[in-house]
Amino acid sequence: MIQYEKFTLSNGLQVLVHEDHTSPLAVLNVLYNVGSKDEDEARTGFAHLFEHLMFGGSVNIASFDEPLQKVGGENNAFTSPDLTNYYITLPSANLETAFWLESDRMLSLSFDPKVLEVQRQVVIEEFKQRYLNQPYGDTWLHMREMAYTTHPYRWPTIGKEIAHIEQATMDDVKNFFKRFYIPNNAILVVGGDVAVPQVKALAEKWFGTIPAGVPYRRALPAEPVQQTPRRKVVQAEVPLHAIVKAWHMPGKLSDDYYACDLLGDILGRGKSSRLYQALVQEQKLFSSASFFNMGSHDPGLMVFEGKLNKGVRLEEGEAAMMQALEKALQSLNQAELEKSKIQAESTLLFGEVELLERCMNLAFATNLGNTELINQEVAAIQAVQLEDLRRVASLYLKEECSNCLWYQSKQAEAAQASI
Amino acid sequence: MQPNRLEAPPFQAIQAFDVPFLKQEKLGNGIELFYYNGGQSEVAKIEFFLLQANQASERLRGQNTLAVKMLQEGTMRMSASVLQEFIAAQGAFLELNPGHDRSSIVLYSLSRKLRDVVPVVREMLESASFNASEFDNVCNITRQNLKVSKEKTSFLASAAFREKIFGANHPYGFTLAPEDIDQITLESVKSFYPTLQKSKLYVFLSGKFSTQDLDAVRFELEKFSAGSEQGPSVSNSFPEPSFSRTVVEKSGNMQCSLRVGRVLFNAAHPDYFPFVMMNEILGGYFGSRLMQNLREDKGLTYGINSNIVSYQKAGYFVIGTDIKKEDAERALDEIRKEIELMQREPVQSSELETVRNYMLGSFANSLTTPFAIADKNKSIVLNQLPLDYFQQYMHAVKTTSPEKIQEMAQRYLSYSSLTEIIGGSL
Repeated sequence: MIQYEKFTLSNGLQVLVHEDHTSPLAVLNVLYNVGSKDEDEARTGFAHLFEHLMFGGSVNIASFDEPLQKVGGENNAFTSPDLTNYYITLPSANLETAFWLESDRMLSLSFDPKVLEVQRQVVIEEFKQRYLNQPYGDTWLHMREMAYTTHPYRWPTIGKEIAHIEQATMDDVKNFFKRFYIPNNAILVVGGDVAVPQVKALAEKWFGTIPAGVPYRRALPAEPVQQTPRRKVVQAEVPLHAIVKAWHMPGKLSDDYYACDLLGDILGRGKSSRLYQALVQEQKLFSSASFFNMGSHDPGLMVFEGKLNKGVRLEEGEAAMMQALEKALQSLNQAELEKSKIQAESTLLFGEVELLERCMNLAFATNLGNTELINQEVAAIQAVQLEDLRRVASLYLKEECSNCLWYQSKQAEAAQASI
Repeated sequence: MQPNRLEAPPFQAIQAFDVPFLKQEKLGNGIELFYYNGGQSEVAKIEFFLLQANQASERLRGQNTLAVKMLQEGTMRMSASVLQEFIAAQGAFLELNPGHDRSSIVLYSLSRKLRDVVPVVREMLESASFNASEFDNVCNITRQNLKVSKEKTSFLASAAFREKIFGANHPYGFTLAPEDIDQITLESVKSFYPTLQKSKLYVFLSGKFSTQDLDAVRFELEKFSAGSEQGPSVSNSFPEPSFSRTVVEKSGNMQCSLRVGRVLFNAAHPDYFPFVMMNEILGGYFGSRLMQNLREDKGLTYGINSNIVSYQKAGYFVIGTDIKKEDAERALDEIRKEIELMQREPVQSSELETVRNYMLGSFANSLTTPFAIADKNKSIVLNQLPLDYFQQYMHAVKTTSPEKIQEMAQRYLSYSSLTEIIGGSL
């Protein structure tokens, strides 16, 4: 059970307080309800680039990081397809510094042109470092584009291409700020060695005077039901062939979400999972095999990922994987459902050890529309029955709804050709 | 009414604080048990340390790594699949960490399941089967993973760096290569098992658990036929630090991974704390000079950091970054300039105050979970550091003078002692 208190300021900012007096530390977490799915297809990567700009000074404060470091605080942020989240951890005695800094950048940024130019370069290097200069690093650029024809999950958070980041203008930055970075599109969580009345007073003082903006009404195009399987082959200088195959699944608020999640764990979480056992341990066709769910708000993907052993052809690998999948789905049993439930319980509990994670989870649940979801997850997992697994398997894991990427190793191809 | 946003709210400097220590027990069979009970979630981490250094000479590269990895690949009683299924069915997660100075087996478990999973570790240590078919599979997976790693400029740069500063034949200096796996035999790996079995065992338990859970763990641990040997440690002779620049060629790269640094003392050395301070200012945190210069001012990289790594017999200092190929030379120049500045001028009081407060805040923040408290203390136990080590650390953070910090850069970072590696073709 995670305890919390919730209130809303008159400008629409939702505030949650989670007291935990174990250590003299506090967390201040701000979630903005904007992710890469809210971007324009011609200007992708912008939500994330914007996240970088949030550290480049605000209207009254030249530097965000330095004053925070001076009071013993640390901070960071991340952007996902669904949201952007900023967090600060600092000694609880200095909590007000976090309010001062975080509220000023919600009020307004400095919009310094140099910051935009520098961070544009930084993000381009990040794009290269994480996606282009890594073996298999561009897998999800290909996968998203294939699996989504319509919904903006079609592009990754980093952006579809570097050119979009190069083209971002200061006007884009200002418009984005005005549209999304408003109190009525944000959730503030304050946790740790703090008290509810103290947080109420500080929230009112620092955030209460920020004017509300025009409410953001999200209206994203739904992904149409896929009718025919899709495939793509890419070639790259990687040592091994890899296969990624994804099927559409419902979003986080759907009744079927946890059944899909547990089914994924049974199929491909860890060394005792069905696909790992069949493909890596027994048949020795793959050197890695996993199955997981992307965890998205909107309808997402269930994904198989595996790398093939030397000498195994891609078609052979995919056929074996599909056979192992079919076999597993035909023989799902109670024991493995129980195993997946206890693993899920364990993971949830480990995820609640850190104060910061508890605060973030409160923000995520609130952003989904119901903070109480955070305390309902265990029951939702326990409620899944064997027939639910069978039902979601036949409903979602259909060949016509699949998207398969063959990530072909040029080296392996050359070796096979010379045999 | 708007609050005064132009002025920072008043703040308190962080005072030194007590770091909770672990409870310690020596069990009848020689096992040293340390535990810390705290937190809100009823989960626990239990880590078993085998104090057996990696003795591998060139001929036996990979022996230690593979022997440790094989521990989860079946016992006389359970096949690999049965063992892994059992652990998973308890909601537990098993991790094996072969290391240079020591290796460890870690279990993450629901506290109520500790009593069920701890006996598996005993079986792993007493009757691992070293099955030939599982061995082939482990070798194959390890080899394939290494091949993928070798496509990463960051991996190539780090491997070349450690080889250069520690020497190719020192366990700290070599990185396993796919070809090493081709050479090694099951016999040789298996021959290392008795050495692991004879090792003295240190066990660290942390999390929120009941007295009954703890009693059950103790009861299970007492059944272990634990060894008492510490084994010889690795050699402490390393090449004399000297300047060199090496390019590790790898075509098709968009970026290069840079490494600049040298072999150094470890955490027990009297200069360790002042060096840590110097490192923090140079490249240890987001506000550091390297990060501000190369990222926040020039936009040359997504990130640049400097680090100190401490082993049993030595340590090293390294600056690392990934950078556009065309900017590699310029980045190396800027790194050199920042080091020279550190040597030439004492750090100003305002910068130093920020660093002191940041380091203390960040230290406090690194001790908020039972797992973190156990981890921090375990480094004191395993490295035989003084019991007031963290008090000494906090004292040093609060008091080390600008001159002392400058002296660290002068004494240890003369450019003629630094190794430069460029991972990836220019």
